[in-house]
Amino acid sequence: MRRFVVNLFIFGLLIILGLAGIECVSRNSSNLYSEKSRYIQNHGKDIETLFMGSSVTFWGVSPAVWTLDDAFNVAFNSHDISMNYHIFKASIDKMPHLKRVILEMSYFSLFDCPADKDYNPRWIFLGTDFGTDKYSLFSRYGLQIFYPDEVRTKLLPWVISPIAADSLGHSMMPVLAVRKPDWKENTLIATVQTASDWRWLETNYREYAALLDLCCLHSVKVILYIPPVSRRFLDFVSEAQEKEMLRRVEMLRQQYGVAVINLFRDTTFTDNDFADLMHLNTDVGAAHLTMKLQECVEQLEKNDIDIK
Amino acid sequence: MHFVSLEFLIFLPIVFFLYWALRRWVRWQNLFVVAASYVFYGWWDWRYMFLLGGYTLCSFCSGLLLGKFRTSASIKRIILWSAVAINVGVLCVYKYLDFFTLSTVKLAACFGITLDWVSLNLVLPVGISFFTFQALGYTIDVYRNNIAPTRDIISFFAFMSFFPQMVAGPIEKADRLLPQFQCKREFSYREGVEGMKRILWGLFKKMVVADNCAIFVNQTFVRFEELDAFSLLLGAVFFTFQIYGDFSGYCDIAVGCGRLLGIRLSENFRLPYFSKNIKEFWRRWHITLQSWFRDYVYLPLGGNRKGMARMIFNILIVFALSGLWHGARYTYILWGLYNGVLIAILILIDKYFRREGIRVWYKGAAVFVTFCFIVIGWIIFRSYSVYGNAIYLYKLAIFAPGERVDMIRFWPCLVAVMIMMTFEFLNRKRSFGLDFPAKGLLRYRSVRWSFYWVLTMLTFVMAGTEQAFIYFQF
Repeated sequence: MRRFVVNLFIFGLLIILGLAGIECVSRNSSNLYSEKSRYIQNHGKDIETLFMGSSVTFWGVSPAVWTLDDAFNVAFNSHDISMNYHIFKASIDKMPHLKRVILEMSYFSLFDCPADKDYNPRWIFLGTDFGTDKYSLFSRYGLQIFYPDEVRTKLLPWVISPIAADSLGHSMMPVLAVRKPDWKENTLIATVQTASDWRWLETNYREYAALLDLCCLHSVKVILYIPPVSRRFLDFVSEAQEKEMLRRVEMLRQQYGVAVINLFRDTTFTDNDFADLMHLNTDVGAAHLTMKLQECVEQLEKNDIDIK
Repeated sequence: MHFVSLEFLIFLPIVFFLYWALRRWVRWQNLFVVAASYVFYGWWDWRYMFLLGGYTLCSFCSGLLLGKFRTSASIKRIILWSAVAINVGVLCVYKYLDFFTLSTVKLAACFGITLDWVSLNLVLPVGISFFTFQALGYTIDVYRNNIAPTRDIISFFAFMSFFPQMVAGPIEKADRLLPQFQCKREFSYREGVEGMKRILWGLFKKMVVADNCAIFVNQTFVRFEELDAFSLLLGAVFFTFQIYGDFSGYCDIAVGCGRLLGIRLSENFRLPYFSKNIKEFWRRWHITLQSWFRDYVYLPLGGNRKGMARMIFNILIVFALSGLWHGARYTYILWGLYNGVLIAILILIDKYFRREGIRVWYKGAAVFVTFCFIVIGWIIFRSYSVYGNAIYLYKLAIFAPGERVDMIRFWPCLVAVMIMMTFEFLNRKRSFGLDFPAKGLLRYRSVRWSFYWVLTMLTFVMAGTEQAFIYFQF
């Protein structure tokens, strides 16, 4: 028994050393989270406009096209409002000249199940690579080796392509040219985003309010934008969900004085702007949306919206 | 808690050390096994512990009563059928009640009759099918005088609740497992090492093979109507390896844990995908379940002793029940019947064509053809509905065009499957894939340790996104 325990202990130690080595190498390898964090670290004092949201913003807003001032896109795929709150909290001190946050409020944003209700490995990289403080080292989100998929992507980027973004945080794929001819038939994304479960509405609303409070605290203007969707997507939209979304947006507007840019049923966005029913493509569509947002922001600021 | 979790990583060493600290006192050791097993089971839901306790008490008492009235055949029969009714009844309520009532409601609706029925929507306790069969097996064996009823309630509780095998098998027979709890266990270094190797192999099969294949398979079976035949074929083949990696991986971990505690559990798999025909497949796949059905359903129905027609009928019944055991879905029953029909056809071929001296197929071709039939069976098993089955198989048959599935996971899945099957083939005459003989370079401890260290690292780094064990839902 003693021999077994000793051998097991030594072997276990070797395993821990091996895993620690992988953890170190992984933390020193970059991914989208570490790259965006590094950008904010190095160029944060120049950033005046910050785009925040989910994949809709990550694909759909290109700061390279934004000419109003220096902007950065800190959106990530599948991010919810709670993650955006913590991203802002971790970054704001590095952006002393930040004037405005353009925050996505999509059709699904208030109805999605919060990202930490079930295990969500994105919190690992938000903590270890981006620097958010929601979870500690000793939690299930403390180590990168708990999510081998991403560790493999980091260690083997020539085998598994990591998500590509330009230097200003905007996604580089998908572009219009790679869109499949039958893209309108892939309706899964539309049906998934139509919520029959409104359990998380209040929780998400409070998260939005918390982010707006934090922005107020740092004297940062917030502009809520409701991104455009394709005409085909509108066939799946629940009237009740849309109505509730707009009602909550109005509540936030009244409570926090935030400006709202509603592009949900904007007819200037055509099929060529979209990659799928809900996301804009990263070339034509992103340029269109970014310029539209800029136009709206210039108009709003000309009319001088007050923030409480 | 399940085997691939941080909680189990902490739980197992604690149990191991405390268990062997109590090795001088068998009763206390068994009591500790019971306590640990109930903690393990109650981790899912504390209410399940009462269900397990109830089953155990019921079987224990039935055994005692059968022993007390062993001279009275009629009373014994009443006791047996009461125990069967309770065990099967509880299983049916949890697992099948909503399914059968919904089916009845739909059938009645076809005839214009509206039936009002409230669905219970009971949460299925983890492992209920497994420990129900284990309990039934004990009661029937006592009835048949195959074993004497035990009066040692603690070792009986340990037998029924032994945590490595309680949730997803192997389904142990009382005459095999119960005596192990009734005698003193001594720790053996060799058993400990074999146990750890077995656990490592099980983790590799589950985390690397099954969990990686699962992601590929899920997207195929969800979007089967849009995908092309090649994608569907890949999905089916990877599911074949996913379910094997998942279930046999679990069983390897269970057997390994058992060996760490000086308990020998039954083997549940013996390289099933190297079978030369479907009969052989069912002698190598989920061995303990098939043994259970053979001993407690097929043979009591008459087996092969009442003519060819009755034998085939019995086989179909057994396989239909085997399918139904997996869950309350028509696809499971269909899968069971599919296998039953294949075996029946094989029996008829053997009977009528062997006599005429038809040449035996070459081994490789036989293995390949059998594998194809197995894959078709798994398509039926995995599909969400009978309609889904039909469409999936039809699209395969006509080489239907469509969208190609995202191939990003193809190479990791393929590499993982090839490693698993290569190791299993190389050690096909030994007990499991990592049971390499200490020959050549493996004579040296440093080489063996390096090999196991690399495999452990690979298991962590190549692991797919965590998926629930498939057989936990049964």
